[in-house]
Amino acid sequence: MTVLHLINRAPPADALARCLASLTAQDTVLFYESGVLACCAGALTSSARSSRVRFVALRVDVEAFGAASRLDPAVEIVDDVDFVDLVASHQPIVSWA
Amino acid sequence: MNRRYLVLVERPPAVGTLAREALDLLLVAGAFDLAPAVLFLGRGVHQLAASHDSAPPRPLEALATYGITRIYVDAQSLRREGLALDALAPRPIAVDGAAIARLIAESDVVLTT
Repeated sequence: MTVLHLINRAPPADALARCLASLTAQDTVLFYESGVLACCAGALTSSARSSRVRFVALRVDVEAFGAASRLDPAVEIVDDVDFVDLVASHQPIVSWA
Repeated sequence: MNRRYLVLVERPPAVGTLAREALDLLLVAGAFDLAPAVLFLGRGVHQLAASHDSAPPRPLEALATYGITRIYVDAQSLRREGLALDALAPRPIAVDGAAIARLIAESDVVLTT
């Protein structure tokens, strides 16, 4: 199975940098809580954007933080059911602090 | 079959109790022969910085006693925090991003503190 990476803190937490340095193709990175602010335009490196990694953000938090119009184009929005599916279909799951 | 455990330590010493809890978790896992791996990264690399005074032995010294030999440190974090590998104890194995990705992929459970 592939790895699910969780980012739930806003910048300047440097968790995202460590996460991006440790990705493997087919991994998924999920941004939620204030972590959605870490995937706004310009946050993802070009190498991350061109990698075969899926970047997703949780809809309820994107809306709560008013970040919908500012998300990096590489990030797709998912809902709570997708979150559950992602957790079930990935192993291990890494919560970057 | 034993599950493979990896513990990520991202917090510096003396910030809350999380780092201490990570150590407890490692020692318990070691005592049950689960042979967990531990990776220090971000400010967590300071956990490995050996003290130069005559302080009592640090809890991390117990890792070897419990058979935990897979101790890794993120080379990039080391550079950023201005620490040298030979100043660390117990002596970890320096790894880059690709090696960290392999460590994670080879684990069943990854715990973060």
